[in-house]
Amino acid sequence: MELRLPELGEGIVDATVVNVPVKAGQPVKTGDTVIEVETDKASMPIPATADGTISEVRVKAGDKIKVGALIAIVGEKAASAAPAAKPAGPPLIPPAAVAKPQVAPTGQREFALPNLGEGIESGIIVAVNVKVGDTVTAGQEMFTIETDKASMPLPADADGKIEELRVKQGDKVNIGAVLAVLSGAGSPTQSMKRSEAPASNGQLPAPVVAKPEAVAPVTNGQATTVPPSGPVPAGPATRRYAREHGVNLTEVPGSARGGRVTVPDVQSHIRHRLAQPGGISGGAVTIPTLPDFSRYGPIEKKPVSNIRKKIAENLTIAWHTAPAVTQFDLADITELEAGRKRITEGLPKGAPKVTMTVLAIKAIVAALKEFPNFNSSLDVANGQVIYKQYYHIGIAVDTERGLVVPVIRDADRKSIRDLASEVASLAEKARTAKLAIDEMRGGTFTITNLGGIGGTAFTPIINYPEVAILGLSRAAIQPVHKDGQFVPRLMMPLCLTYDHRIIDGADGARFTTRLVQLFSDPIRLLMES
Amino acid sequence: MSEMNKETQLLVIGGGPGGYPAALHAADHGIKPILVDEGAKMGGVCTNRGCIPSKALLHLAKLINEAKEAEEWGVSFGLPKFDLAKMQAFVQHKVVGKLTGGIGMLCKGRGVEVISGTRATFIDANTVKLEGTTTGTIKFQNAIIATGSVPAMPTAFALGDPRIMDSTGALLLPDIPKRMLIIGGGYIGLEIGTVYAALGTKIVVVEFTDGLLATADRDLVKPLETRLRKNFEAIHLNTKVASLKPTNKGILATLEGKDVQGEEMFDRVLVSVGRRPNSANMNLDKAGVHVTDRGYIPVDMQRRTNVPHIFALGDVAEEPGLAHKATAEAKVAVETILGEPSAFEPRAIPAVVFTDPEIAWAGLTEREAAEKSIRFEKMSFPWAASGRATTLARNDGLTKLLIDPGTQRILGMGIVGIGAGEMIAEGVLAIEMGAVARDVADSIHPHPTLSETIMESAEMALGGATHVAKPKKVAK
Repeated sequence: MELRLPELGEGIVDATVVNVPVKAGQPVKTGDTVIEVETDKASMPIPATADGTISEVRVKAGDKIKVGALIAIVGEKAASAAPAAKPAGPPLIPPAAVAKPQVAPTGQREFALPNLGEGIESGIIVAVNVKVGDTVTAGQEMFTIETDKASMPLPADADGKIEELRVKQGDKVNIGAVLAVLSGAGSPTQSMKRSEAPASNGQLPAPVVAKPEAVAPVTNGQATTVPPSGPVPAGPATRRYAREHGVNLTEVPGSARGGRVTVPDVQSHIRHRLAQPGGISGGAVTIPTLPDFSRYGPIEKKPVSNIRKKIAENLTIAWHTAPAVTQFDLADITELEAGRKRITEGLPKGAPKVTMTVLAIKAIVAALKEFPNFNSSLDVANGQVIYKQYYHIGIAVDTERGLVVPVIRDADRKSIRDLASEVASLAEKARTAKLAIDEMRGGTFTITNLGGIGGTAFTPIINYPEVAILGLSRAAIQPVHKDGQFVPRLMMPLCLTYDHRIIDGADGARFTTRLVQLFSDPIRLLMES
Repeated sequence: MSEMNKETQLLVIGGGPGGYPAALHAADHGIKPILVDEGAKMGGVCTNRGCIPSKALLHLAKLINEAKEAEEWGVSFGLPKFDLAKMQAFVQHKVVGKLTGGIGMLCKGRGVEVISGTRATFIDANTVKLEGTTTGTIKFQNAIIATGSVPAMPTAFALGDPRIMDSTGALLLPDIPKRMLIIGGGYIGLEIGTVYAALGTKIVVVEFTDGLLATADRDLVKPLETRLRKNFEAIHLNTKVASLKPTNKGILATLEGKDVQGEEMFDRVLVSVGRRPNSANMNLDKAGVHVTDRGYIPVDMQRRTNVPHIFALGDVAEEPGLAHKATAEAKVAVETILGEPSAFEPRAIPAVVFTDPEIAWAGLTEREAAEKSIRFEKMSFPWAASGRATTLARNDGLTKLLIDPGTQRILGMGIVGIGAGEMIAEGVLAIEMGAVARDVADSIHPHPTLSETIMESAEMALGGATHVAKPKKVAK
């Protein structure tokens, strides 16, 4: 069997081989490290997926390889040819794979909603054309389903008798959901795959397959296309149009004969890209040609690093999707800071420092519990708000290679001391590029503290798909009017940016007000976190 | 002689098929360009001493040959009589003069300031000095270098004897020599040889390599070579001209080759061993513009040189040295100056050899496919099966398509036969549009025309052509 570079995580398309501890002829067991790779985020071992003997190693240290690339060929042991856990190859999702009717031992088969195309996860049953007891023949239209892209008939994949209907008109069903149970000998044939079946009942094939949107414009690294050999088939006018709109033609599926890309294909690709937040990358928006800067003085050109590209991509998504508002406030941290200093000074040398960020995590968790909207994500596609019942707080860390955001998991269940030690260790990992990808995932809210650097206020950008982010600026002594006189107080600026789609302005103000209360009153912070 | 000191948004150096379209295109978009041309008349080598006069002469040659061939079909004109002065006048005035004058009028009418008979040399990256009919300096914001190329003349042959000519001299048709030696079996030598052979000159071609037209595919060269061997006295391949010696009786050439050795006497010699880019003596170094060892100016997709506001195009920039490539590049360079997202990225630059029969190709050649290990299938349609070719008594032709074995996309087209140069445009369009064989096969071609051979060769990819029994599929 072939060992290929598996998916390493969202957005990771390639990795650099740093170590190859095995060589040809060496036996390996499932789980043994075959190679070690490094991505812009982390380094990790790639284990063997089956027992066997390495018959050939195709990579060497220093190689940059793409997800799905062949790493090694492992000769299988004679009998142990268990279906390799999961061929770690490129995730080519065979159309209708999920729809394969499972043959129940009783001779009954389930008819499931087949894959309707890239990006379609569910549909609404708009018509049920059969009833229990009906005999259907392969190709006969059983249901009509409507997705946000099109409506289409669902033909039977084999002959049989309807034993049970599990859905009714108006039901919303997900891909793979069982729609009906059929009995009868008929085993589904290859030719009855959904995309071809409609031809037999005189209906036009469902448009999904032909729609460019459905042909997987690969943008999120979840699928890989076959690298195109040679130039993309597209006429000069199409190429010009693509250039004008900053479209990479290799990403555009062609609809004309032989896969030729036409101007409408490019237009629909652009529409699709704009409609799909995940499709917008930092470089994808229409960017006019830059002027020739060298005409005005000396310049130096450097490539953009992968990590920087990823940052650009995420921030661009947030910028394009979330109508964001930034709410400012000032928190009186005179007492909190005094207490923090006392505690820190009392700590033994080398103990993790209790920083303002650590205390801010506590305050944030308390506020998030009160305002669950801020701990949610908006699922536009399915029209849902997803409330998270955990509190994973991301901490923006400034590193030499760029911004990274490690995540403190279950911050609500950790003591200040635990948090201090975890923040310190994650920040150190971030600076030395040793963060694992999982340590940067799953955040529900992010804190970015520029207080150590300076500034009076700023407008942070939401860390998509979160819906809010708190920025802290440098605290300063300010005169505060109290009890008829001005007193010097240490005031810390709070800058809360939130996604106005699901958080109203009043809640934004309430949230910062709550934070101000918590920061200003250490006892309250203690009580409520 | 006039003195001038000017400033311009765009300076174009060279008035050939790269330079003047650039100036016109710029002028049409609100730029006021100045075009400096060394020649007295606009049009460059192409119009004055290349494509155009050679085609006028080849037209005469075609008439002569067809009149002769017509005797076999029952039409006799008698022996042709040549009025050399009138022929020269036809070429130089009715053809060249008309076109160069036309270009001059176009420039004037569209607001291009033309300074002819003047050489521009760089003083720095924003200034040129003018020498010639006009002197002075021009300061420019952008410049386009389109100075073309000149015939290469090895020093061994540069003996100062007027009987040893380059293409420029030969196209002036100084006389009709009895016997002429053509050094170099490239397209220039063969085209001019075709002209003189029709006028009655005995042509001997000496080619250093093992084949004529080195860049063309062999199957296309074969029908041409067959006919040329009939019309020329001799074609010596793998042969070198060791020396040329002017004598009273003629030019004594020493040939060294497999099938020919020793000295032979010729009335005239045409040296057509290639062309070299015209980049010397312009002080490009003062502008900071890089030039390769071979004299080419390297450019990017927008035709920018390493100095971003100085562009280069045409023969001086990169191979192939073809007028239509220069014209296409001119648009790209000007659009880039105008801030448009332009790029020179053709899929097919057609090449045409205007011999009899003509050879034309576009896109992938078998030669290139072999070099780059590109897989293809070849569909060859012999003109023996073409009705139109038969009516013209010219079945010595072949139309072939190179297609991708998987997608059947058309990667290249090659044609040998009369009129191939006109027909190749369809191949260019097919390749640029990303057409597959069925696109061409399903496009109805007019009957009876030679263009049907293109349709039928595409049909071969689909399993069989109407007029060929068995498709010859050669998979590589």
